[in-house]
Amino acid sequence: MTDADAAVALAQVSVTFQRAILRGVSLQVERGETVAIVGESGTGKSTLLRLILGLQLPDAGTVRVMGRELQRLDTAALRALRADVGMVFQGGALFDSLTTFENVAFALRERGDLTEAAIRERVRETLALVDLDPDEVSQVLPAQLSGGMRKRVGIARAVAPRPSLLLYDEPTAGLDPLTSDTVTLLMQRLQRDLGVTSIVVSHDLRAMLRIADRIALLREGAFTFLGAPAAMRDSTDAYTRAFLEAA
Amino acid sequence: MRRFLQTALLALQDVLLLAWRTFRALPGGRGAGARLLAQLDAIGVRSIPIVLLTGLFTGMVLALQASVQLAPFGATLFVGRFVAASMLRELGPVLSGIMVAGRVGAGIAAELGAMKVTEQFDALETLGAEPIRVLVLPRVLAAMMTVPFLALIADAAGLVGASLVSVAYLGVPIRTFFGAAADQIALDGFVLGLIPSDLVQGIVKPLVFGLILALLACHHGLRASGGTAGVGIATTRAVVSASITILIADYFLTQMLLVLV
Repeated sequence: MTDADAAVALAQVSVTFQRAILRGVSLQVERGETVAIVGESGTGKSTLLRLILGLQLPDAGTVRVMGRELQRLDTAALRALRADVGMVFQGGALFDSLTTFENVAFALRERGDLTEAAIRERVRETLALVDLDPDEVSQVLPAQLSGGMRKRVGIARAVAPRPSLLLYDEPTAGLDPLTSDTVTLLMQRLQRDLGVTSIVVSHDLRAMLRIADRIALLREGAFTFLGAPAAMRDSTDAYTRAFLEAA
Repeated sequence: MRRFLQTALLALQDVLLLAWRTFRALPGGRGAGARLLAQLDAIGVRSIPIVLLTGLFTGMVLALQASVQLAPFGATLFVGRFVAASMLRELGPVLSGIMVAGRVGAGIAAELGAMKVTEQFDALETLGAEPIRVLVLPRVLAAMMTVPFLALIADAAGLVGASLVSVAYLGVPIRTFFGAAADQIALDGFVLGLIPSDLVQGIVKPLVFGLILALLACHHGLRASGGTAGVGIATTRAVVSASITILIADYFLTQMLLVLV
């Protein structure tokens, strides 16, 4: 697979902000694949997602999304590319002043290629897809939702435009074990039903071992392990073993 | 001193860049009308009570102070002139600007700051919206459109307040009070033979003050970092910088308008 064929391709990417955050990181994510990026806090996991979204540029190396090199895109082209990428933020990042319906409909309205009736239908369908009752939650403000529901609305908002690439930043952080399990299963189901490429940044290694095709373990800004969950379980590398045992 | 100047120049550059990006986002795209209407309500309509009260009591105080100064000359009948000149040219625009900077500037900085620290800004970008177009442009336009009207409301409230004091305490007949006020407004001439030049000053200044307060509030909100503490800092900076900048801008605007109008 070449970088141009991959859904996401990072080549020798480095980011420095007061200290080295990422050091020559390379990663190819195939279309339809689910890759989990795990590691300790402050190892550059969320920075990787910001690079893929084009919210931040690398100091060195290249970032390609759907075959297009982000550094070469102007603002309009970058915005057009982002229409094919959904992002689930750690804290949800739902718009406080908008209802659940308006949050999920936001990207669809911005794109402007659907009628209001089609948007209504798509929002209801997407809320149902993440196991939320559209009649119950549509007119509710984010502040009135539970943590688990907010996560699901965040996922619905990212999924509503039917992107080909979904990025998750700590999707289960701050949730109780049961809700965390529900969200993990939901991610697995979305991956199966929608056939999207997914990149998940998470501390929850046990969940990632269940849903990921490959796992990348970041340590001090570089991958110390990159491979299938089974290979990770069999790894003899001391740090990888220590990370697995801690999980 | 050098570092202070460097910081100040960098901040000025950021604000000018923000202004450029804001006006480049005109006409605002899909939903611009609804967003502008919401901000006209939040910034303009909801500021009316505070501006009314400020104008009313400022006018009342001005009438009392003017009476003290004019009484030794037996000129209390001219209180209306004194209050009209002070309110229309200076106090109406400046006080409205500062009051709106306090109420609305703090609100804008806090709202945008909270959005920044909770990643809602990044969310806007990823959902295909341009934060400047969606958040900054409607606030800046609404402030520029409403602060002149709020200044006029403050002017009117000030004249009413001063007339009440003049009638009740100074024994100046109400017709005399407003007659003197009208004479003062006419005295400074008319622009295009129609609009009193005092009124032109009283509208141009708050238009600029609205731009200043909204831009600075957005600037500080957008630069908020470090959680809720950062939002608090951004809010304070927005109010302080807008208030000071309005006072400084008032001096230069007055100089310019005295020549032009």
